[in-house]
Amino acid sequence: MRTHRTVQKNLYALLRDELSAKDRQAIEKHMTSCARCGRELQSMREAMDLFGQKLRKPSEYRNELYWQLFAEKVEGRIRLESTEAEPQSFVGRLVDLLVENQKPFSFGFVSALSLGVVALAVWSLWIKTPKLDHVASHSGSAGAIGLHVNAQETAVEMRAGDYLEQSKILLIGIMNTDTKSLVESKSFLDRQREISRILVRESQEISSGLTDPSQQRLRELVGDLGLILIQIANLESTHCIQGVDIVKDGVERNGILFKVNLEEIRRATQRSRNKGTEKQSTI
Amino acid sequence: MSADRERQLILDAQGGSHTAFRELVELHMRQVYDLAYGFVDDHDDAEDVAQEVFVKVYHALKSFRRESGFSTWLYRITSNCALDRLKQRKRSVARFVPMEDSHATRVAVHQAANQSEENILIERSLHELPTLQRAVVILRHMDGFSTKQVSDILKCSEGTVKTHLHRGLKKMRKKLEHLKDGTV
Repeated sequence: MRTHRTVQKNLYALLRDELSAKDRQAIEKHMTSCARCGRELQSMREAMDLFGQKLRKPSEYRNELYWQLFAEKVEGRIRLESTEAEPQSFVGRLVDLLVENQKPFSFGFVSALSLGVVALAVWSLWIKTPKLDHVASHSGSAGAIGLHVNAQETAVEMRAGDYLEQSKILLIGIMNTDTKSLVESKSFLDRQREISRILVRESQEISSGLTDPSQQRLRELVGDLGLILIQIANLESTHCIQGVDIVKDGVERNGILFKVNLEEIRRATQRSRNKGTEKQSTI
Repeated sequence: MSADRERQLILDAQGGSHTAFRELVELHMRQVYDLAYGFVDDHDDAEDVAQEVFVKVYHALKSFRRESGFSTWLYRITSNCALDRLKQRKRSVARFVPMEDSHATRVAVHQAANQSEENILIERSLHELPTLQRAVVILRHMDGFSTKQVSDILKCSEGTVKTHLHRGLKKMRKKLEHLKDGTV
């Protein structure tokens, strides 16, 4: 004789036809003489019908794009953990990403890119000295991006700085490479797409962290860059030439690289001011 | 996907193939997310837990010996990570006062997504179940795992799984009636 409790625990399996013939017979036999378990069976059947049809899986609340980028996010996190374990400069990381499993084409490209970065650094140094005061004098107005004078750089702003730097290098690489040779190296383009996807994810996380009104311009810049990066991430192997041209056009038309440079100058100015303030307060 | 294909992917991933690992992630990401959500009851936390699970899997894959099924091993890691997250959350809840009612937020989000009123109530009845009951209902009723698999994943007896499922579904039904009547 089966107890009510044992029978009721097995009603779900009974309704799903998962019980052995022996267990099924035993439960059915119990049911013939037990109204209480009969009611439970009816109640369970109704619950299964109701929830089986209507319950939506939590994963269904995420759209297809989210799931397409999910593996990228996991890979990005694994990569991030390994770089945290072994500290390396952002240029080193990016060069690793570009060089890893690539054809000789990458070597030439990385060399050109390095030259570009050096040139940019020299340019930044050159432009910084005479312009610093000018940028600083506009710090209370809408002239610079995300200004908040005398404020220490927050963690999300530091992250945004890394993101801008990495995106800039990626964009300079694309802008300075002939579209045709860019498209011809499929593996190189695949890598660019992969890096872009990681950066897109980064931009989403950073944007959600830049909530202060004083960070609005920085948030806008991160968002604008994110849109360009999405275009790169979604470049198709067919019609790729047009896609790359659209990306280049978007970067030029929106003055993206100029804005990034401006933001970098602002950050450098802010950092040196903060240092100055710290020194003064120590004295 | 066949079991042979999955076995091959595991072997390839153990041998260091990123493509195989990626395929494994894509194969299981939704179910891992669903289970994580079953515990943590929040989409942001579920995302974080699901990512953390695959990072752990990546590092531990070489030690996976196939004594248990890959899914069981994976979902056990998921339930452990999710439970850790709940513990962390309890600690932080003790320190901080919540800013908003999570149910209210969720209902608002769902309404924005044009869900029917009944669906919202059904989901609410699921979310109001105790953690373990909710996980059992999700794994057994929504994901279709067997009682044995669920007991392996959650490290409890098959009897416990059956009891939680029975009670969970009953509670949900009762809760739903209350919600429909507007008594809650």
